[in-house]
Amino acid sequence: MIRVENLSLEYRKGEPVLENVSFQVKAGQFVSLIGQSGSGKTSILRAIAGLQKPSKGKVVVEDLTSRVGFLFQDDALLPWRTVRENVSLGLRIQGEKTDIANKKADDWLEKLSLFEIGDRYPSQLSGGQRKRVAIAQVLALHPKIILMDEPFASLDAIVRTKITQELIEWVEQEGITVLLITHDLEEAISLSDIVHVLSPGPRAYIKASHPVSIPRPRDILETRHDSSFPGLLKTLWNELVGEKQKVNIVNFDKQKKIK
Amino acid sequence: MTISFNIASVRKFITFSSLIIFWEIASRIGWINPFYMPAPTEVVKVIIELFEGGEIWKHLSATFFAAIVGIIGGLAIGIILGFASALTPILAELLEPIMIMLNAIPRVILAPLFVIWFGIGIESKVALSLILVVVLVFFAVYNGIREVDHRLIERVQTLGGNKWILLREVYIPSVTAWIIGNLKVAVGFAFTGAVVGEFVGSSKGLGYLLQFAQSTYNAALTISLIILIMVFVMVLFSGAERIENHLLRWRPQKKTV
Repeated sequence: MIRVENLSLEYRKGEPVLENVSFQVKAGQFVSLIGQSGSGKTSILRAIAGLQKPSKGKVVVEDLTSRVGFLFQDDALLPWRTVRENVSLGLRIQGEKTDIANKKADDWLEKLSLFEIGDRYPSQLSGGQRKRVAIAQVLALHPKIILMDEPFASLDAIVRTKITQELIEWVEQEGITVLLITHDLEEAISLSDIVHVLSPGPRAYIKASHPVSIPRPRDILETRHDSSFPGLLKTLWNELVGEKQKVNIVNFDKQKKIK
Repeated sequence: MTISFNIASVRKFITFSSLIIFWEIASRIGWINPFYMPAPTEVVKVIIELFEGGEIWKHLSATFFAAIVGIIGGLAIGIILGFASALTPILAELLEPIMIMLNAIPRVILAPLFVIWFGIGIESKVALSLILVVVLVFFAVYNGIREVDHRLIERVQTLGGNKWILLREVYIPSVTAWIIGNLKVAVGFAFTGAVVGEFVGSSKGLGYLLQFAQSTYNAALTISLIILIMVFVMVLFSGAERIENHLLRWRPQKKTV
């Protein structure tokens, strides 16, 4: 479980990026945090990961040291390590012997259809392959919690959908708790149990929270056909971009009806 | 791709051979004064004589010894100082200005000073070779640590890595890449230091022979020695390149034109 209580963060004194942000992610829940660029979404995740010290408030993460996985926008694979060594890196850091860690890494490479490229270096991989390796690196640790910061933003639509589907299957199967930072509203709805909306910064706060009622297990492509999807999408859009844009989306709907 | 590479090699070979043939003919028919520019066959004769007499080995070994000790010592000292400065801000404040100053000047001007300090023996050549390499390696290590990819550090930290694991998994490989990437330049610097040191004052070495050839107006010997030095440096360059290609095989492949 992750509990964020009255979190405030400031990079310059007197100019908080975040102010009194509070929410929680219960065990086994998939929660998304959406917000405009620069609203401080990544700062929240960095604070939870322990990479950023809060100015005020606190972050409580169950079992932070050994069972939390992180998926960032950048794959950040060690360029001098092979795919297999990158996947086994976390296991070796946790104290596994190299041969056992590599064997476990091979199992995950097999599961994610990466076994054939186990001896390659990251520079020899495509963007999608690198992302899969990063996912394998995280899943190999059998995390209870995964923190994700727009992990698929750099991928093209087809690869992105395929990888997201694979990941959601693992998450549902293993009952992993996930906090996803994204600016993609459709992705947030398709994957989450709850979507939190962050107000524009500075002094950003959670302005609304919406439960997602789409049943699990989910098929990413099918979720868009759920009856609750369009309404929630419109609500999130309006909350995110404000009144001015709200007019445009209404007009767009009217145009569609006229046609 | 292979075909275009082969054609390029043939083209280079033909150009080079044509130049040598033109040089030979021009020297023989008197277009060029052989006193200043002896024919290639004369130069080859001198090289053969140098090896047949056996005298050259003494000079070659002296230069090689100074250059190799310069590289090894320069790498060791440069790595230690670079690491220490990157991790200790006070030491960086002291060392960085000195290194910047040494980097800004043509360091071979220190050669006469080293002869005064260490004499005309091997020590002054090693010292010059070493100072050339130290400054290069210092900046490679110092910048390598300071400019290490922060995302990799965070990745290892989030996987539970402590500072020793960070050192092993991120800092050392990152710095090694910088050093290996500069190895070829270091080889060139070490040879420059050894030869210039010998040129300024010594009793043996290729630099000493060059000095002798110059003072006796022996153009054939001078060109022979220049060619010898070029060949040996290129052999070492190719060795350094092989090491670089093996150790840095994880880098993106260079595009061949």
